[in-house]
Amino acid sequence: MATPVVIFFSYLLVAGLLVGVSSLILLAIARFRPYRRFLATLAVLGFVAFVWGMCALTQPGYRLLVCYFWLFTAAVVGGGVGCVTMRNVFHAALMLILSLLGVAGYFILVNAEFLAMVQVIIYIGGIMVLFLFGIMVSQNIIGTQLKQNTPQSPWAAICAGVLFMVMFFTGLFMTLKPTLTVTPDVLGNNTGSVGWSLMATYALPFEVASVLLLMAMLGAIILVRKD
Amino acid sequence: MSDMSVVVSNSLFLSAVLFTIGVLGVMIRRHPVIIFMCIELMLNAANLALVAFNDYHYSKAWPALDGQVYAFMVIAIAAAEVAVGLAIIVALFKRRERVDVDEINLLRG
Amino acid sequence: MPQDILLILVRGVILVVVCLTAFAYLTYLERRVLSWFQWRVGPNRVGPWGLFQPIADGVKAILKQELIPRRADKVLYLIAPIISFSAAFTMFSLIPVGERVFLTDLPIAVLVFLGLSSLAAYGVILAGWSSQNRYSFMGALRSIAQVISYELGLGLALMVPVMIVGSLKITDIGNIYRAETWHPAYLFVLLPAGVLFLVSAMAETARIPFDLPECESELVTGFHTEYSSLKYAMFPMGEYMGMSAMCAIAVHFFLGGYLLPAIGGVDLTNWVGLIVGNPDAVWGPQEGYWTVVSLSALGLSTTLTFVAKTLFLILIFMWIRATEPRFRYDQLMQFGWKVLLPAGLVLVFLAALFVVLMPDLGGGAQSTMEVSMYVPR
Repeated sequence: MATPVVIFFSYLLVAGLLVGVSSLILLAIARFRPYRRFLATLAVLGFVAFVWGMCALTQPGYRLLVCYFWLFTAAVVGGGVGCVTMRNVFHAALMLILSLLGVAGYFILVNAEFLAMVQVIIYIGGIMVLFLFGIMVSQNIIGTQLKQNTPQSPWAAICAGVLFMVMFFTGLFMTLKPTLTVTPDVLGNNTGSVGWSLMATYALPFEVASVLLLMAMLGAIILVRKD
Repeated sequence: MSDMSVVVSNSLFLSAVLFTIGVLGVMIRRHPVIIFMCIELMLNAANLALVAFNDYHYSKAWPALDGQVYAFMVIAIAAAEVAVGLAIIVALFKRRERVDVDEINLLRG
Repeated sequence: MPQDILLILVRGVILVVVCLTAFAYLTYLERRVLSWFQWRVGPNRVGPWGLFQPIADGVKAILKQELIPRRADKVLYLIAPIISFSAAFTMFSLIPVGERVFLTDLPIAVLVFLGLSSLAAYGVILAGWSSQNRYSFMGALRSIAQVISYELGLGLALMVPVMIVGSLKITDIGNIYRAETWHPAYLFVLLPAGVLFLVSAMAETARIPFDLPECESELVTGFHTEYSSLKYAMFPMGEYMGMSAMCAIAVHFFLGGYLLPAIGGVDLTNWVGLIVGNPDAVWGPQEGYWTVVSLSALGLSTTLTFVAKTLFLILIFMWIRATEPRFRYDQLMQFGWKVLLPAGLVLVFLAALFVVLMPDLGGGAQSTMEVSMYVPR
């Protein structure tokens, strides 16, 4: 069905992918800073156009859920890109937090609200706070501006591009037909169900995870203790 | 096709994008803390895919939440990893002023 | 659908207005109570009994000059007060204030509450880091360590009633205090959990025995040293709102929520409802006009009860502020990790024992298992 809308979005998809990948590769080589900034923006825009085209092709109607999906996608991808590109470690950590918040919102969209809150409480409220603590303790008060690119960045870009292509085409050729016969109305019961399956089927992994956490705690204490 | 299946079927691509960003970050950045954070990004990409697939395959015949439980385990492992990793990084910072992963090539500080 | 959205908006606006007014008068109340404790007069000049003092303070705060440090990280500096302020306000949207009077009654409200209280810490961290000031920085560092340590006690204390009831919904938890479901045995676990919660809440909101992040004798004013004008006012606002939200949660979990006490088998909630016009509590559900009247009367009486109980807890917080000296920092950490955390773990263990030994008590725990959708393969 080659309606104009479909053509437009397929064009957007292909063009976005091309622009994104090529500007990423250029970004890996370029040295002049304003030019690099421009390229980074271009890469982000390209990938946004690409994902937009993807989503629009699979579903032409935009409703509230899809809008939220967009919002969270923007947070996840924007935060991730920011985490990789920010020159200040503290800012990079904050961008990572943005990305994690997007993932938490996404969890709510796919009926995993217990996991979403675990993400907020443990990841954002615990792990990331620890990260910030580590950064603040170990750096100057202002935070240094870091050099970004290593000599291997062109190769890194190519490797990442190949990896992305593999994952992308795997996803594209997988027959993900909508087999969703039941809409899981787990809302309100999701916590109980997760707890039930943690304590019944996955009791042993659960205990192993707790032992792992204990080991990590002991390891951390031993590593930083005064000799 | 409902709105829900849009969200789920696109999650694979979102997860791929996030994972690629993480891989790229690990390869091009030099600061150990940032490399660490990029590993977190990759773990989250995996979590995204796990939870989305769980929702996708959820049905009357298979009403389990295994994907969410796996994601829960991943979060626990990430916490353990961060505790040890940050301890290592802080110990490194105590020994030397500037930390660059390219310069950390000795087993003893 | 549009009517629903409109209703939610109107309720949200009412919530914000009420909360802001409550904040203003909480500052007034705190100043009056403190001065009463310290044998002083306190604010009594502006208006009758100094009642307009908060308004004067607000106008003053708005009219002050705004200074932003030149070296500050501008974006983060501006975002920080907004985070701490809005996290505290969002907490209030989770809390039912009366019988059928609530903005939201989420099935995972307890988790959302814990998440918000950990997000509120980000306001402090960002403020301290972005100000580029040693005092702010130290305040932020202290605040991080303190929040991480005391969140454990807070979460464990909340888990005790959650385990007994088997639900994360705030109204479900409040319902065990009804005359039909109450059992005196609950007291043995709920009372210590309540004390643990109040102590942890005091530390989590950095109230005075635990206000190390902003203690003026060491750190000027801690993380908000560099803030001025309205941005400065937003930090105390968030702090007071956080404290009130903690007290409100404590009322729901440990003080019977918006219910009046039942004395000698007579449930006062129903009788107050009857006196002010709640026929369906006694004669069964009514129709039409009477439903509206009885519901609103019931809502009003329960809301007033709830506010009174919350104020009682806030007054206890003020009392402690007036009488207790500040902890030293190492004492704070030791207290958190060596006293509160083990106490919380023991309490959770006791609650688990309680649930196992008296399975016929716990409100919703059984039903959760029954409707659980998990089917072992």
